[in-house]
Amino acid sequence: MGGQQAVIRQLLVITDGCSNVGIDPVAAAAEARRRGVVVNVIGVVDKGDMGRHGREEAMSIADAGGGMCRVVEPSLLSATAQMMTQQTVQMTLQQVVNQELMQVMGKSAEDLPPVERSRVMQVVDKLEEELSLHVVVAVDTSASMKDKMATVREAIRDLAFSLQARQGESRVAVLAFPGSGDEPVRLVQPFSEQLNVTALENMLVARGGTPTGPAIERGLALFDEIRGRDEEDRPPTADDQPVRRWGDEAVAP
Amino acid sequence: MQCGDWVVGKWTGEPFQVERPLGTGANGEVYLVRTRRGLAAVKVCPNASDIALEWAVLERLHRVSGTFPKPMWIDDHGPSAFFYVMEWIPGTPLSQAAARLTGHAAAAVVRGIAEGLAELHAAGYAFCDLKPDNIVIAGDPPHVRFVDAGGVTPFGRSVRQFTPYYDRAFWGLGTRRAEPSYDVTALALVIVICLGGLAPPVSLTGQTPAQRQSWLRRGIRRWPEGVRPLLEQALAGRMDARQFAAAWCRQAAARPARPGPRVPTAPGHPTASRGRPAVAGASASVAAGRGPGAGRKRGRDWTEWLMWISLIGALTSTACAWLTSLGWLR
Ligand SMILES: Nc1ncnc2c1ncn2[C@@H]1O[C@H](COP(=O)(O)OP(=O)(O)OP(=O)(O)O)[C@@H](O)[C@H]1O
Repeated sequence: MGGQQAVIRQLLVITDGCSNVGIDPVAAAAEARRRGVVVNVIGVVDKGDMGRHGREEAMSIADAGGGMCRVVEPSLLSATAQMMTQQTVQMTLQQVVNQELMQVMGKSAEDLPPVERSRVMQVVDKLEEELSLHVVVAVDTSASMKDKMATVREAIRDLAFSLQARQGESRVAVLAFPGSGDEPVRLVQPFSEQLNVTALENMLVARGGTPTGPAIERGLALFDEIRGRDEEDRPPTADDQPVRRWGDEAVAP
Repeated sequence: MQCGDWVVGKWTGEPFQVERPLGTGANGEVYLVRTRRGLAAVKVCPNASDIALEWAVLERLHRVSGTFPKPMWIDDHGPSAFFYVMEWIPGTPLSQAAARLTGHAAAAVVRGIAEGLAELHAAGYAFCDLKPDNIVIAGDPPHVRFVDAGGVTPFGRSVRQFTPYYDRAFWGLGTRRAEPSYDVTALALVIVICLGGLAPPVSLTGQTPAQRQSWLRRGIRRWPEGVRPLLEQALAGRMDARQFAAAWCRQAAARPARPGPRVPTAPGHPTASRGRPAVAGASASVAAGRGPGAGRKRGRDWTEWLMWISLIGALTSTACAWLTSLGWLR
């Protein structure tokens, strides 16, 4: 059962405002999608609002990254992050299955009689649990996030905790933007199956702008690094083939 | 669905008429309906997958346990309303009934919950989303029934649907893996929080699990000294559901398990999970149009962005292999 070799890649951006440093985050998200990484965005707002600009940018990033966007209060951050992560895995898989069904039977899962559909969904559900899942969480650590950092840390810890319970391999990496000093982005924790709690606790707000675009780029580089590392360890799999986009038969392997 | 609407299933041709809404959750709506076989409950959802999975669980549980609603049939209505029909369970959710229970009645409820869990566990499943809103006191004589099989998970897999205050991982009391002890801890949390009449403050979300535990410990101290060790043990998941219920009932007979001064019962705690964002402080039924609405909206528009996600090549072959091995993709 080749399930273990396929990897689902997601990048979760947690922010409370607009980017203002470095490359356009929407372009970076589009590049992520091109490379098979789904970008989800959560806007965390305390009482006030992100402002129309921040909200629109968050939406555009998620749109370009093929993911979802939610704007929530800090108390809902943890639940939202987990919901999005799981939902994205589910959608990615359902898409694949629907595509197969379309090719083989000319039907989507919705066109099947409910009892058969229920059997398909159970298979999808099992796969969801068994596939490898790699998630990069990129956290906005600009000054306005100060009061929310404790909640953000707990939400990340909680997300990692949920992922650890999966049967499939799960790895989480954490980035902070801006980093400290001259670094636009700081690596808080490289990809790992266990969350480094001390590193997370040292993730503090920093001076600087909000380099959302560079953070997404750095996230992509992280995915590339572990892809490279894994390739050295094992023979190539179908996973190393070019990423296929929905409905884009031209690039299909 | 509107009251009075007639719905005819696309596949079964079975008609029913909508009487009134029974409740709204993060991933669907439940209505009381009139069918040819009498009154029943219908769960409708814009996401075909949620309905299909819950249906499969209800069907399997029905053979081993009578605690969950009996499944009747599954069908579609139009392109984006997926539903199943099940037994209607008239009664009061524990979230509303808790404040009126005497010590002995509360002990009977605890035993009922534990029995339901034990049956489920014997079949190899954990409830995972055990919370006061999903526990219904029904019938005469009153007995415990469960609603919402959406979180029911085979042992060994990760918990797919949970509600923060009734989730042991939120309190740093264990993993999010489906196993009997996950539910036993949830039962102890139901006792401490709901039967104890507490309302966890929203500020807990910004605290570490260790800090949250100290809030929980204060909650335990409101109970008579004799039952505290028992609660501690159950919170740690160190006993099975039946053992706990038996021990709890012995204590309840000795002295009413009544904590100190009561504060208003905690509001409903909507579920956090795959597709089910939690909304703190909003009662599950009241929050109908708001928080959980986000979940429904997402459900509605996933088809849109579903079109756009990039795919990993290997998934295709894996999924295909799976379907083929299932034997019907040919
Ligand atoms: N068979 C039933 N008989 C009577 N009432 C029911 C039945 N099923 C569900 N309900 C009511 O509808 C409410 C919502 O149903 P349910 O919990 O299944 O929805 P959900 O979307 O899964 O909610 P949640 O947010 O708890 O996951 C329940 O809390 C309960 O009050």
